[in-house]
Amino acid sequence: MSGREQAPSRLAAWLLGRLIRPEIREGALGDLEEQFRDLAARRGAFRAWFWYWRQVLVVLPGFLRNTIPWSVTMFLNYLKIALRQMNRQKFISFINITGLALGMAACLLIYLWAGHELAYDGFFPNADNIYRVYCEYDVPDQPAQRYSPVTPSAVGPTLTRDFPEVAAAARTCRHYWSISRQDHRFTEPVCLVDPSFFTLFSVEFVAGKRESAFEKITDIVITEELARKYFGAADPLGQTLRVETWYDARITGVVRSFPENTHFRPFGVLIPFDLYKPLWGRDLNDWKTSNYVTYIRLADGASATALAGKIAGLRQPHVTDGTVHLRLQALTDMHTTELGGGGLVVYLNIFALVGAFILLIACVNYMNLATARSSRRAREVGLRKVVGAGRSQLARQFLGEAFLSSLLAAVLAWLAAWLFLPVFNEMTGRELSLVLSWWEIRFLAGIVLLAGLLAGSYPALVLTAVRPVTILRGLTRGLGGGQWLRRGLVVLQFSIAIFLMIGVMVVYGQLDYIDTMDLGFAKEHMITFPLDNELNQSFERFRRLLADHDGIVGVTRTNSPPTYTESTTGGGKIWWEGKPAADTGPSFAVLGVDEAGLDTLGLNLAAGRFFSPDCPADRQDTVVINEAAARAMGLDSPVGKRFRIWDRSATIIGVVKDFHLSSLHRAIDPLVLLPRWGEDTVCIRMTGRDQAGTLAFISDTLRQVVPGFTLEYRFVEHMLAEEYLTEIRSGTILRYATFLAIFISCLGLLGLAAFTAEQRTKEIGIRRVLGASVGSVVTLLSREYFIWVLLANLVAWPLAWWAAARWLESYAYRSDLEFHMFLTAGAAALLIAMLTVGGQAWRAGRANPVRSLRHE
Amino acid sequence: MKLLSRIEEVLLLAIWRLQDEAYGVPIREEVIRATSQHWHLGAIYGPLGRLYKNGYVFTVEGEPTPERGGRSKVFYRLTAKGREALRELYRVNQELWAGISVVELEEEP
Repeated sequence: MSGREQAPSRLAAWLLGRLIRPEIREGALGDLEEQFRDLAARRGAFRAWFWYWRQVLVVLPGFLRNTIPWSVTMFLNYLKIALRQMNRQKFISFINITGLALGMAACLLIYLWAGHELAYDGFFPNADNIYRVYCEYDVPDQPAQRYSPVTPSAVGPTLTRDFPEVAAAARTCRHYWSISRQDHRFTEPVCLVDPSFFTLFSVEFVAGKRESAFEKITDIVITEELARKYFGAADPLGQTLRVETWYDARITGVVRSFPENTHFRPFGVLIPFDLYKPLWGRDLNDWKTSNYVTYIRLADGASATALAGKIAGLRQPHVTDGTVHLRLQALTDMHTTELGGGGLVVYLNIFALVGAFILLIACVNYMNLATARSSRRAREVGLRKVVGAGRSQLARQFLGEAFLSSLLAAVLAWLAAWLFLPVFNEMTGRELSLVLSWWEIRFLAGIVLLAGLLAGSYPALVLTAVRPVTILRGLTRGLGGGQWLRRGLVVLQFSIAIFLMIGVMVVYGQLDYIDTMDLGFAKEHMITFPLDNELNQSFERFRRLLADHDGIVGVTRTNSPPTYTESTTGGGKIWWEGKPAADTGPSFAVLGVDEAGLDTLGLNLAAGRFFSPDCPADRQDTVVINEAAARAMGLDSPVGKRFRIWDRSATIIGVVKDFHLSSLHRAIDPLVLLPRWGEDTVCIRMTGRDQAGTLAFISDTLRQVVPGFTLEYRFVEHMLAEEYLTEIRSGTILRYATFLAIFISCLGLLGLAAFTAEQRTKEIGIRRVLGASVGSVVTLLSREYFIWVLLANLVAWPLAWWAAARWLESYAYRSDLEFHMFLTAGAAALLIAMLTVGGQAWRAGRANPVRSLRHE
Repeated sequence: MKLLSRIEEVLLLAIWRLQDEAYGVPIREEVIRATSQHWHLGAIYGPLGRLYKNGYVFTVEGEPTPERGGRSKVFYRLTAKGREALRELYRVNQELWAGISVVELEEEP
């Protein structure tokens, strides 16, 4: 701090340097600094600082010293006029500022959220240099199956060995394993990682050392939360935890969990990747099976595009034709962009546009009301011109008024956003906060500038151009040019509002469609939970115990929850009787399931039979396929045909009707059901009667079979809903945004209608005296607005149709675009607009004509 | 010879009086002492610059000192033209005041 106090402000010194003649500058600055220090020592740093700045003013040449106070005076005059204007027309100012504030608040929240989403994973040091390797398959006719986030285990080691651009690579794979300490036993999210994972992602060690974390294969690293869960306040380092029933692991490190805004799903335990070898005999340098997510960090200065070009054709020694290409995805894109494009980023773009729209609508309000009132201000402009105001001075005045309004609105907007934030957080499912950060201030300042410029530009340009003589003679009629602009702007506002309304209806229509669609399996009352090894050993006993309960329909084991499967065969890995060429052909999705799968999942057989507990042979060499697979293979009667998947020969014993394993964005993939394969999930379907009792029964039974087992289940229906979380959240935000757009548009319309009614007070009075009814006055005043909003419909419909059709294209299964949606949106806009305008018109019509004729 | 403005005159006199010690800070103090009016330090550089430009004063650099942010003191000295100007001013002042009694000025009319 002392360093700062010793020297005068650099800006002030620079300014002084500009103002003092260069020949004597050095000496003068030295004198001033000497005095400054003297003053600082005697009177304190602040006084000295203030004194130094004061000198800048004193050095100013005289003419400048004269100008500044006058500019200030003029500015104060403008400020006074602006405030008087606001005060005189309270209603219109209220509309202006409220509209602007609401628009800005919406904009602020939307951009705050979008910024949060875009910043995902950005906190990792080197985030810009980290990429995920993924696979793109050449699978004809199956665009949905082309991308897979998992790679073979050989990819990581090969990339680090053969490509100098790759500084480090880490393979990861997730499981749910039971971790126990004495009688504490929980199923925990476990991640098997290479040791390079720690440096790649800069994992922070709270205890233990990064370098020696995975010295032995039985070493494990846990998170702080997990340490607390199992050990409380005790030191976990060097303690042991039992992994499943397999081995005792020694804790060599405690790490901090990643923050919430990362694509990584939470993990509790990190285990050396090499454990796969002794545990399951897996080959860790293999090209055949894709199972692992591989991250790489590029060396400094290496280009990702260049590397991507090199590795795309990286051939797998075991595959003769190039059906797989390795691709790279930036770490920072993983949250927002799905493989192959699409994802959250689409919605972020949509909302960026919606935010801008709302702000535009609010600015249009200001512009409209300003032009409408222009005839009133014209006299002021004329007078100012007569006494010598230049055009640029007047333009500055009007722009300044607009800036003042938008500044006031910005303050209100921040407050409104702050008040609304808890609701917004609920909608987005995020923990955003407004802290008046530098970012927020810059953002609001930007909006203030933009809104001020947009809103003030018309009066600043047009109003200042009038000739004072015309105005002062009382000819204000000539200012009607703004009318067309005004009409155009109202049409624009309502087009946007109608567009958004249609958008909301389409999104909700699709969500409803998804919700009510028959997925081909019974999603209701089904729970799933991770299967651990010990439970798997005694699964038949568990099943028998549950079978007696009348609240349970069935119990089965699968390789993944029935809402998604990441397992695919890969292109050209399957063969069937009558297959035309050997090594090409479609990729099939794979779902491992046991004999009870048909009843538990509620699937329907189309032909043949399902795996049966009575046929022990079914365990090994049979498969069931779905109808899509039968079509993909071109087989009319597939049952009984020979089939080979990877190295496994089998007979097709049955065909199930198609059902949706993944989100409705994707078409139903060809699917192979393998008996008892890779099972790590339990699915239990209940009848729905006395659900709580049934769940308690399941939990008790589990403890009976596997002592200490804690049931942590999830409902399949909830998991399905999560698949569409982005859509649901976007729908909610869009609904609020639309409401706001309509509300702000109507505010503007209200102001405009009130203004017109007031301007035509005398005309209305005369009409009324001559016998016009209130109804005819209302018609007179609202007719033109009716036409504008109607016109807005014509603009909005084709645009909305185009946008909605494009959005729906991202779904393989989609609801139809119904004409009634367009009609409803249009009618609603018309109705709201007419109510707004009609209210004002009615008031004007009802006014006592005697009083209005005495007007002016 | 063109006559100097009052502040220029005061500054020139202050510089002459201070001789070897004539740099910004004491010049200002001398001006304040002589005129009994407050002068901002910043306010002397405008006229001082004019005096320099018109060749009434020249500058001599001293040693840099830390309390001045490493800058040298710059001392001002009168040039021949400066001395000439002061002589001229003295003559004009004498002429202007000749025969005027301050006592009479103090009397109420």
